[in-house]
Amino acid sequence: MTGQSTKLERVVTTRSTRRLKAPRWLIGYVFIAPWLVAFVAFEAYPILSGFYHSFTDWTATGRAERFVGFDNYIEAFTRDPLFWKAVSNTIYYIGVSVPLGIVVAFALALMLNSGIHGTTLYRTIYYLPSVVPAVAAVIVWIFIFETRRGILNWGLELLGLPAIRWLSDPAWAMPALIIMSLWSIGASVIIFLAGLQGIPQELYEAAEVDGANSWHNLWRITVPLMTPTIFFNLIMSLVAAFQAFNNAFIMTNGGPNNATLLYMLHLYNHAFRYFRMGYASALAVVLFLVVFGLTYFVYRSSRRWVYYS
Amino acid sequence: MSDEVRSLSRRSMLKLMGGVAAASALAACVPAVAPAPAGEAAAPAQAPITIRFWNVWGAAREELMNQIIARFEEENPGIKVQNLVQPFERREENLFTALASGDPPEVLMATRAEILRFANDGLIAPIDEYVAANGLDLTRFYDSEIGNFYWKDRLYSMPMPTGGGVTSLTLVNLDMLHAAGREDSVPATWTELETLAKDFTEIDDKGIVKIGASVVGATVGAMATDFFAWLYCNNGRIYNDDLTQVAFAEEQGVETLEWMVRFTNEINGGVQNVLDFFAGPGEATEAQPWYNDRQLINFPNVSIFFHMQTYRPDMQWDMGLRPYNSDNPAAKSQGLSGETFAWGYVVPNVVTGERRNAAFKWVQKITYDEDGGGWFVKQQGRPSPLKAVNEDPSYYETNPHWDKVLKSLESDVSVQILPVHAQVRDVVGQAVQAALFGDASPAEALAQATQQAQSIVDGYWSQSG
Repeated sequence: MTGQSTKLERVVTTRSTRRLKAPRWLIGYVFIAPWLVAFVAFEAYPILSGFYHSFTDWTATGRAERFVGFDNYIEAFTRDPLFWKAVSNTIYYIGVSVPLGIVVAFALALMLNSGIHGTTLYRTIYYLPSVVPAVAAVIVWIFIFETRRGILNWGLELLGLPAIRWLSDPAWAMPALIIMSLWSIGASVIIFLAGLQGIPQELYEAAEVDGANSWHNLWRITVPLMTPTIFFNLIMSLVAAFQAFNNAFIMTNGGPNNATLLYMLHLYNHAFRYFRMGYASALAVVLFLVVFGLTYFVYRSSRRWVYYS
Repeated sequence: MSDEVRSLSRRSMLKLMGGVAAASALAACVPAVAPAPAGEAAAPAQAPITIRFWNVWGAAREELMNQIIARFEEENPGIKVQNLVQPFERREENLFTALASGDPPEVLMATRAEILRFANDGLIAPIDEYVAANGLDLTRFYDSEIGNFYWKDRLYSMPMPTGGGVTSLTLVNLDMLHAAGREDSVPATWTELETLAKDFTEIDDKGIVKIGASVVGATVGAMATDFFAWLYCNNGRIYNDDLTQVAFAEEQGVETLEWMVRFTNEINGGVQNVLDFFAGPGEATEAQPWYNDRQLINFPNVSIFFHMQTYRPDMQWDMGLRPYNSDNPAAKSQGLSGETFAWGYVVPNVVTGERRNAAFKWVQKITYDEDGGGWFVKQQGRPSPLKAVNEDPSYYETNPHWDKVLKSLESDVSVQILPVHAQVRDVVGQAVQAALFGDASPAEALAQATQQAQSIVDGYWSQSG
């Protein structure tokens, strides 16, 4: 009787445990199901589909696609006359705009964190451009960059410097785009500011007791403790810079003389102007691999320079 | 907490998940249907067919289109038209996405090159049967206009507005001319154009203050358009007759580009000056130099007549045909019809049955019917592809040079193009830029472009067999 009772209890316990464990396991998936379904449908599937189509001559206009092997990739690296131009332009853009954006955003955040009056107002002002529609912003910037009446050249004139042909000189068009990229650093400023406000004040007080000045505080306390935030902003800025498109598309359309032909614009032209979706998919895969590789490199390097504590 | 968990058995959970998944799958399979207007849900059999009409007739022209829609719906109580104006800068992207989605709008506005591409890929429905069944007389259109929308002997759209009148016009600002005490006529040759442009171009240390004329546009696309326009006024051509070879780099092509580069450098002080002078949002605005007496000669398309009514109705102006190269005995003034921006309206193949028929009826209204597409262009003071519409004397009330507009249409040549023409013209635009910026001589730039363009053309023919 006792033996039967024990067996029964074991069965009940086992079933009870199963009833308890399985739902917990599944409930987690139920809760993330909306995101998961959307991720599979709108992220994973298009990514995998893009990989597949990069090996075809798909036009997406109804014509049956053919498998072309690595031909799209070979064309990009060897036959496309604008591929390397787009690559070098994009490297130039990223190489300057990302570090510049981080330095300027960090400097602005430091300024806002210094206890000046109206921090909330300034924070709003800096963030505002991030929510201004791209087309409206570009129109404003076209006027700012105007050679004859633009505000930038007016400033240069006040300094006794010659006017610059920002949008018509191939040498200056990319710097113009880079300057314009600073327009949308508001989000980075807010993130830096949040990071700065998380640094314990006692550290500065202790340093002051030891005779540290502002410069020492910045380099020995602020920057080291901000490295996780810098790392985050660096990754986000890199990914965003690789995908930069709107400003070049609307303001310069890749010109003058292809000086602002960014990689995404080149990809867009093949996808939506020439209906060469297979080739555009190959360009997208190359971009994905480069972004992935660079992000991974930055992530690995972060062990040496990011201080988590 | 644990009680709540316990009450949800694995079986219940799986049922729940299965239910959610099935509901999601079913929801995804339901075709997108435009919501029926209130009060009509009770009678689905008589529910009107809704035509989603994608177009780029925005701003003041949207209201004109709405008036045609109102008339059309009155004449066809069973059909509703949704006027869905698309942002121009993302037009191509939206068009592609809509077609690839499998649920495109019933009627799409597209350029000739796009229409040929879709027709070639079997994505849009030919309109021949509808035209024949309804006894439509296609001779009412100019031959060059209706001819733009045939692909492999099948008709895929009817035109509105004209594909011609895009490159053939030369307008002179008489206010500027007379203010300078000049009585010159509209330049007819390249030499006359150079002389007049030189006299009216003012340049200071920041660039052009006033411009006599520019022979190049401000974008890659515009540069290709201008090169082709001048090429045809030098008796050149883009392709050979059977469209198997590109021909823009023949002797006339090199001569044309050399002239464009020389003109730009010598008269306008270089292409950077020109780009700076015309820098701006691009759309027609009152800020454009033409409306502010800072540009003497303009080479616009016929939409200028509508914009002039808006921005400078009091301007004194004259017009003629695009100047030709008088040094070439075979050359004459002629415009290109259908090379770029010949607009048509297509019905995707996936639109079938009554919806297709309703869509074709709407296409007929905005192209073939004089009180539809004909009325629409007349309100804008621009010509119609329908001959009869252009004979209306009321055109002269807003345009004293209407006879010259009609003459310019007659000078247009319908250019045969391939479905890959958008890519070819970008290659040409790149070559024009390279020559203007001094990266290559005109001959070198065109030779390189020929190599690239020929490869694109060969690729097309090898795929299409």
